[in-house]
Amino acid sequence: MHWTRAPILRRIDLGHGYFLLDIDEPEMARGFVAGQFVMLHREEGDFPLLPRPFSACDLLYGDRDAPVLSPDDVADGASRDPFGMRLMIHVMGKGTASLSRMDHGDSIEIWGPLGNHFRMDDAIEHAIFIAGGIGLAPFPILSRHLRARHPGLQSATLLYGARSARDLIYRDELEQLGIDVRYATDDGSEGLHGTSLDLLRDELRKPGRDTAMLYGCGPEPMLDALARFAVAGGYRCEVSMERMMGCGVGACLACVVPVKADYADGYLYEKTCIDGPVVDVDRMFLAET
Amino acid sequence: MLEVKLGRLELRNPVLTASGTFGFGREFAPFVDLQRIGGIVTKTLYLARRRGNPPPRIVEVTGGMLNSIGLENPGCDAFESEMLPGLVERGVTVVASCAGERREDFPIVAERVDGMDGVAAIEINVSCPNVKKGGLDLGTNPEIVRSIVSEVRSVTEKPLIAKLTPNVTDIASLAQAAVEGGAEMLSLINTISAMAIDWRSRTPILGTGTGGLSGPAIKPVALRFVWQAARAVDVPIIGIGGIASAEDVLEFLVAGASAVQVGTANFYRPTVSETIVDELERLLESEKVSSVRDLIGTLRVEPRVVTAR
Repeated sequence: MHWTRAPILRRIDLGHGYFLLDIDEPEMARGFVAGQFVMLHREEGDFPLLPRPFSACDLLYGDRDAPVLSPDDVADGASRDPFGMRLMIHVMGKGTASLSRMDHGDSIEIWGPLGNHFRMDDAIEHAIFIAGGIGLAPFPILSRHLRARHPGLQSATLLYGARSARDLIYRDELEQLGIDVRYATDDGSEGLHGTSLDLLRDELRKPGRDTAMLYGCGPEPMLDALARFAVAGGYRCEVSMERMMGCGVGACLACVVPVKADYADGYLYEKTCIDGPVVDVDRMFLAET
Repeated sequence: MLEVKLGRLELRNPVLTASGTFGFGREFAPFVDLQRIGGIVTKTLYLARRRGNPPPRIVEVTGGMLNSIGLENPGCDAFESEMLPGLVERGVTVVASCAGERREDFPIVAERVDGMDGVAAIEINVSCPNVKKGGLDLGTNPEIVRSIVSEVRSVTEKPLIAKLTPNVTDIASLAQAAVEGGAEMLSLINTISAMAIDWRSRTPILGTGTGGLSGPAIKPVALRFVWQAARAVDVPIIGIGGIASAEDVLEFLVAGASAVQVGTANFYRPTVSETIVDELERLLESEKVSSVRDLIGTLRVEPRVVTAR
């Protein structure tokens, strides 16, 4: 974990407020594990004042001018270590809008890799990624890591829900992950007319999926519904939480989520930045509805 | 060149980190050589663990941020066993910030911390805007501040700092009350009571409604308070409020502070406390100032005569 000013290699516009930032920072990229995040701060006057947290969606390998997303695609003789990170960002407010105006030639203050990571082990036979909107971000890298490091994995499936077809991004790259990808949209303009949770109910009917490892990332109501569903059904499930963060390193105590604890009313707060962002749903404090 | 002496408390340089913005130091160990900064002030401690306020707990505003953390902290036992030893091992100057749920808890916490050898000084937080009993902000009442400080004074031999609120009209009488109670140093300012609103939902953005404003936006307010407090009392002042550079530090020293605390800037630039120390050395050298002590309280306030050319 370290802090630096890193060059931005390129901004890739995906339309409708979605964009990718490729960042040249080999040391951070080498240490990055799926589920972790980095903090970005644009050094330009006093606004935006606070940094913003972002997941890497992919690591970058090979040639800086034409990077590839998997070490298997690196030309013979070249380094198979990543030289950078690709961050997936959606313009939500003034902070992300400011970042969307950065491009090749700019540099940015960055610190990381931060936080814990998704569970990855040889006991996982079926992995199901449940993504909502920009919550897609951590799953390309998680899919690559799981498949590369755990040969016992029999299947991996991405269930990707968004508002509308135009909000389904990064699709060429997703199709090349070599996993099953299924889509759902709130308005029915692409894939299932419904949510990624609806896709999950369907997916879990396949053989062997009762022991599947579920990974969720997306808006708070979606993760809340997923957690309740997984707890009720006895599924193994981790979710990556997103909260307003002040520092990313465990000092400001802003990004807390309630977890079960021996304390008044049965919960204490944990920090999304250093105790998370990944939380096992069995530990989440789910208020009565 | 950078050493300062605040009564009995000697610091290698005047740059401390402010309570609640630097965790317990270890959070920043990957970014900062903790021995190079003047010292760290811990997150405010209660005797027992405290959960803090419901989120959302921060929101960014123009030039600053609001927080309503509500003094979430791990309690004295966890601090002593899990956090303090690592700091002592590194030779870090540790100031323990102490508070309590009720008035009578302050001396209990201070007495517990008094028994910790690795703590160089105690800062009593009588100014958190996010913890109120029955709507009463006890830190705004000089009589209450005097009595809390004197009760803490009676249970500890350690150098004692009182951290004051800016949410008053008369800082001089508050500062005098803290000194009369036995404070050897004053630190100011804590955050300014403030609010952010989402008009579309007709709700406040923070979970508790109101919070405390910090960051660059409050620096001019803090400078004014430090200047007024320094004129009102004879004890060393520690300036706090929007400090993010060596230039900012020197402004506070000239206003009358003997040291400063860097707060919100730690959030957006985790290396800032150490780079300020580096910058301070360079700045003093280039300005041919042999010691930061030569700048303390050197503000000249003279009537400016406007003449027609």
